[in-house]
Amino acid sequence: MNGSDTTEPTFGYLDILEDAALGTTGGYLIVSATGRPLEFHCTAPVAPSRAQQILFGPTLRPHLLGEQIGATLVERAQISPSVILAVDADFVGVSDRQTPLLLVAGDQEAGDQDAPPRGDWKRLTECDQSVWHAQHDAQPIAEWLSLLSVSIDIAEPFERIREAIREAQRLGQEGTAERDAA
Amino acid sequence: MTLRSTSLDDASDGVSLSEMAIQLPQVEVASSIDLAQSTATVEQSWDREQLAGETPVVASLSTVGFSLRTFGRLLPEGQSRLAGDRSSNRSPDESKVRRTRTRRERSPRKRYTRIRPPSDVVKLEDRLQYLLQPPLEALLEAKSLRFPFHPFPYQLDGIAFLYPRRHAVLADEMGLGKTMQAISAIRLLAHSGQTRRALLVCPKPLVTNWQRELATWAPELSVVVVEGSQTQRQFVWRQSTAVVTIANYESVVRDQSIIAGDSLPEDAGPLAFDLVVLDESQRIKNSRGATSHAVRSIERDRSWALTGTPIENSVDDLAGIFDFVSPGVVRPGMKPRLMGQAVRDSVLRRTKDRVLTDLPPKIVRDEQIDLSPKQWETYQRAEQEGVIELGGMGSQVTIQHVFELVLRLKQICNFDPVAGDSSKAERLEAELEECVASGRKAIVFSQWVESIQQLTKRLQRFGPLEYHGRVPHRQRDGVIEQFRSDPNSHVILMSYGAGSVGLNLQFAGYVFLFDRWWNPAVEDQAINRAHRIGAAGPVTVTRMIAAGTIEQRIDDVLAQKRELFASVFDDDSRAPTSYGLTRGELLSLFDLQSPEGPVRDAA
Repeated sequence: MNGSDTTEPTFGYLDILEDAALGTTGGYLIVSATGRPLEFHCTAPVAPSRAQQILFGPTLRPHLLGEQIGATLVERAQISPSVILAVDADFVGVSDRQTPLLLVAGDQEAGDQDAPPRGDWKRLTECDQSVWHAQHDAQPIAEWLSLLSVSIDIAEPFERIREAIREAQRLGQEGTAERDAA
Repeated sequence: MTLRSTSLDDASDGVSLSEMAIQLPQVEVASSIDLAQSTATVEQSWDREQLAGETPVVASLSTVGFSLRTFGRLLPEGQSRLAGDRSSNRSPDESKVRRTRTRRERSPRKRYTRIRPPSDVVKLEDRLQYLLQPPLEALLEAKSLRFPFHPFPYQLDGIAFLYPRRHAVLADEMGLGKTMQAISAIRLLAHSGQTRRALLVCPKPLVTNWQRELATWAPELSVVVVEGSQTQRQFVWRQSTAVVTIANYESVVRDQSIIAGDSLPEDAGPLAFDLVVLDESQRIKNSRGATSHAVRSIERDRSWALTGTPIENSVDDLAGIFDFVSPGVVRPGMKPRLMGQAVRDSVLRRTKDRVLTDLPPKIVRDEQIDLSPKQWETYQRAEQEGVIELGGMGSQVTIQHVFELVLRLKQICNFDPVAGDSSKAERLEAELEECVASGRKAIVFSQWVESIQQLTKRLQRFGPLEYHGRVPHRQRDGVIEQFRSDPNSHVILMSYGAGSVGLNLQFAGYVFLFDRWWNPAVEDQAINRAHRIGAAGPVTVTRMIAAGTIEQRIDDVLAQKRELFASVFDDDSRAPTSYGLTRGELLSLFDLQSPEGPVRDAA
């Protein structure tokens, strides 16, 4: 992986789309400081088996998002972003890696929480949006986000990920239907 | 320590804990366990077993990991970045904007306008290229493209619809701002380097309107108008470097050989445009016409059509428009439902009642007006004589004969040709008194210039202005401007032909249809000169109908059709084959009898 050596920051966005029938699909979008898309990866839908549900219990979701989906997607990417942003606190497992993870408040109108995540998280006070970090030195992160927010709303790329996953699923379903019809 | 472990695969899905315990001895025994994958539950079980002093039987699940398949790629800008070509990600203008803009200038947004891929983009990675882009609002800001007025959300949707499409029909109802949406999409294409030269073709009276709108919505785009002598026009066609070339339909027909390069001393080859936009594209509904042929022969990459009335007379009109936009997609005679399906991805149509809930209301009222005794006498005599005359012609009667009678009767409904009486004019005078008292202006539409001129004489105290085919083009803008700004000009008298399209007269609060056009779509166009974005208050539309006359019979026929306009887009297979009056419907206006029986058909 490379790309973090450039002077302009890049931003990795991790998100999932959960579907009762299909399972959980992860998406990872890396954007430039102007919000332009640089790289995108998504997973096939993952549906934990009954055994896995029993085995992991309440830790299943953090394991699935942080250790499995998040980690796999981050490893697949060729560009290493300056920071990774996620709405879902269960992605916190990704933060073990070198790239700092930021938690962004979701769309409250859509029912997402704006409450601070549990653990040693601090709110970035310089940011319009509710963003939490676990780093000691928040100054460069605040500057990067400030640069990004000139071009786009910080939380906007999450919507792109969900749109892209929906599109991939839609095309997949249409392809399946066509094959079945044939 | 070696632990005996057991493997479970996904086949155990749905098995309860007790069932698992039963199955455990039966499954394969492994020699080791991956401790990283074991769970607290299993470890606790082992601890309990050991504490009990027995050899523990430990079940571990060796396939607790998830099989993850991923799909994805570096996008073009990401490849440039990895290649160290970061400068390609951003234009110099963009860098300048970013340096001068601060975060505080931004306001939080809840709604994003996505640029979605058209249906002819089929590969997933290509479709994702669209979906992963920043929303339209961010693209506009990145290019520093500001609007003089903040667009309505549906207008942003319209821009996002046009921008990625090579074949598009923007068929919004009149007054929703098709012009602004098209200009903004052209602007975005120009700034992203996708369009270097665009041709805009419109009716001649609308050329100045487009110039004005382009200056408002895209002041940085260079614009040139094809006009003047042949030498001047040829220079503009062949030598202009302007981003937008505006030409009227007649110029395109007349200058076909210049555009094609045939008439040039040296074969310069045909002109090629990145984009050709047809305004009021119902002008090419007849595919066999010279206008359609001329615009279709222009080489182009993108083909857009703008029209408020994609179906003016018949659903086949849309086929004519698509012969330009995307040949072969629809064909004349296609069932409306199938046609609707075929064009669904290429046509965007919104109506005011759906998207402009804040637009002041439009109040439509039909005024049944009794003709004066003299007028009625003249009318009855003319109709009786006309019907007898037509009946006497028997099978020799042509549609032209019927049409002439209808016109003659309609003219009498306006003004008695002998006495000059006009019940409608008297009613109009009274209504205009009310308009003037309310401080608002009125537009009066008529089919005939003669009627307009007679009205002008009677309405002198209202400062009437005339706008019709006999007013020279160079004077027309002045007429509109005077109507807009002169407080003594309370009414403008317009012909349907000249005044029903493209003009923005939203400062007028009253519209009178002094006589009725054959086609509700044209009447709607006329009404929407006033009832459009920017209308300061409710617009009152008065449709004057001479009671008990041919006008009332025409109105009855058209009323049945008015509701069916949207059938193609609403997936309604009951669409009429013609939106205006058909040959049979025209004949049915009179109970024509011949010695051989009822006249049901005409040549």
